[in-house]
Amino acid sequence: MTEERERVEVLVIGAGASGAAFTWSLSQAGIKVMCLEQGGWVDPQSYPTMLDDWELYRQHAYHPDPNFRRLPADYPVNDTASPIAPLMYNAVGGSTIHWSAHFPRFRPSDFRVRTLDGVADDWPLTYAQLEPFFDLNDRMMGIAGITGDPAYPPKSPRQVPPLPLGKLGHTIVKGFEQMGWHWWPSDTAILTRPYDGRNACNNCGPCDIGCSQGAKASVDITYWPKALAQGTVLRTQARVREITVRADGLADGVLYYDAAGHIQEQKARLVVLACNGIGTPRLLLNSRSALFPDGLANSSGLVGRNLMFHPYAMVTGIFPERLEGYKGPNGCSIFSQEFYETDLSRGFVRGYSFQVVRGFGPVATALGGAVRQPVPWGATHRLVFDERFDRTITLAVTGEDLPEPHNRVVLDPQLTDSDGIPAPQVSYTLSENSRKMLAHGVARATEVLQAAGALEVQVNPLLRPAGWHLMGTARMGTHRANSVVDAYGSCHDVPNLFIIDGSILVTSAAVNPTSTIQALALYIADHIKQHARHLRG
Amino acid sequence: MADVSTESPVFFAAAQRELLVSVLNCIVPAAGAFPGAGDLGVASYIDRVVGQSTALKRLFAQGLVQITLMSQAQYAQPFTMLLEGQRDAVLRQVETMAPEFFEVLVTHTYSGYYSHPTIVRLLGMEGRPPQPHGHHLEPLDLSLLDNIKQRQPIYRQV
Repeated sequence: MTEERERVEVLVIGAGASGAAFTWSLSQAGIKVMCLEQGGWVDPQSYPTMLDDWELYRQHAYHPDPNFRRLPADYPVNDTASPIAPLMYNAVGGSTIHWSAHFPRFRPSDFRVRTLDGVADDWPLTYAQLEPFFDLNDRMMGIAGITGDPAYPPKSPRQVPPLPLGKLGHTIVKGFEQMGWHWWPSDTAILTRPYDGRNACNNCGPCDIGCSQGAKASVDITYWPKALAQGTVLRTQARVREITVRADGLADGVLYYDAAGHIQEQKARLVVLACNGIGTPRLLLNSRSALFPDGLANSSGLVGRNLMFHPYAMVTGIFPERLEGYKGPNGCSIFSQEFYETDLSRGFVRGYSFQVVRGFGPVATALGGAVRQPVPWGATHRLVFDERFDRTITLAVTGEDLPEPHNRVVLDPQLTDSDGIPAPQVSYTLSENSRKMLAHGVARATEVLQAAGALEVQVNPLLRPAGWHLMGTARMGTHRANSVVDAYGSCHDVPNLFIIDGSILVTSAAVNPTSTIQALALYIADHIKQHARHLRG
Repeated sequence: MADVSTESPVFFAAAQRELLVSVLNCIVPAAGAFPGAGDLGVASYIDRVVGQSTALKRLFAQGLVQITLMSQAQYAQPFTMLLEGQRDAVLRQVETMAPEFFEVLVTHTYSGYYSHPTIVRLLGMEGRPPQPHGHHLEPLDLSLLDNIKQRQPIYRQV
């Protein structure tokens, strides 16, 4: 039996990167927000980095793929029709609990792809319009870096100095300098000095299994404490089943399963989706009604379509000396945008970044690192392992993915989560443009690794567990025929329903999206605050 | 990893365990200061891991039988009596015939071996987990950026 609760002003679904930023912003203006999160709080003292067998946690409780991890808060994803497996995490903090915190912004040209390159679409907003919100988000998250990068317009000062390079970083820098290619210390959401009551990073290495120091900015420690101090209500283990609508077609609230598994109803004036580029279309498609037979807010047919990942090729150089690559944040050091902007003479449109990844631990090395080529067993094992361990530098070739309607998320006809809610099914094919782009990136990455002194280079042409970035499935636009939300994240079909996560991205750029997703969430929050009276309905 | 040599068995019977120890010494053989995986006690780790999964129990039970049968078929001897080169030959056959088993065998051997503090110490990683001590790295020397800073903007103006 459902208990009707008092109607809240704003209901946010999902306590990850965008949900946290948005909620905090509204709470600053005294607006009462409730957030429902299907996962729970993660205790930083429970991260396994203090345990002897820390590396093994990646094989179970800290596996990046929910289909293997299968924690209670996870939902399964049918990803058999995709060469890239979506990776998401459900908790207060969302996927930022496990991210590597590489934090570049989209660039100005990323918002004008159609005008500049004749493909994809233009965004209904510009880098300049987002800039104050990029800056605000950087202040809230605490960013390590340094201004002066010629790959970006001038930026506000970073909060703390850039990450140390270590021997590994210095080695690859030599390669970039020799090639004359752009490189720069990445903006990263990892503190190199104490900031805002949080500790500096002690370079322990495996950011992906959680930061017990509080140096890596996961939103459970950046935004959420402040939002809660300002009166936000956060309900954990609250799994939303569907969004309900009124007879006039406005969103009414949600039905959700509480911690005891009982169905509850929560009404709201505004409903805000922050469930990532797979969770959000899934919820919309699960919210069918007489008014919305094809899923909520889906008159365009675009909910779930135009799914964009970042296709990754991984290129690992093996060097003759030990590089101390286990020291320092394992996913972040420097990046290169030498091949970012379109140059049609290369044979493809748009471009890619290189993200330099540090070394792998002993187990990860034996199991094959980023290129997934395990060290052979038997007589050659010791020799080959010793040649590879702590002697690798990996370039992650991060390619911009174009929006294609056939790449999509639908509901699986059979698979459900533990509450019986239909699970998402992903269909995705790598485009010819991406294939050519990654091949170019692999060749360039090989060159720079060799220039840095690599004796041998291994390649994984397409990394499967690489679906960290889920974008495009409820895209922004100016017309209800070709988009799901407008320039302020409001659904064309349902004006009091907002979407603020990576689903709304029009194009994917060639960098990690979280900085831009959070800036958009703050931009949308700001707009709602300005029009609060009007939108309260 | 706990002191594996005194742990009580979970899944494997004594004969299976003896065979497994021998197999592990072929997967990661002793070399210099590094012990073989069997001698290090990784069989106890595998015993624990396999004991928690029905699928792994099935794979390992069948896999060990196939090693025994192949050993008899090729050399008319138990696996533990074979010479080193013969053992490798048997395992290569089983690797081809039972790839699913062999993959988990290798994965869990490597997992148990390379998470053992003895091995971590031998690898020169101070034999300790990443926290609470972390590592020291010198701050980035900003003068390294002097060349790049000279470049004209490389982003497209809009």
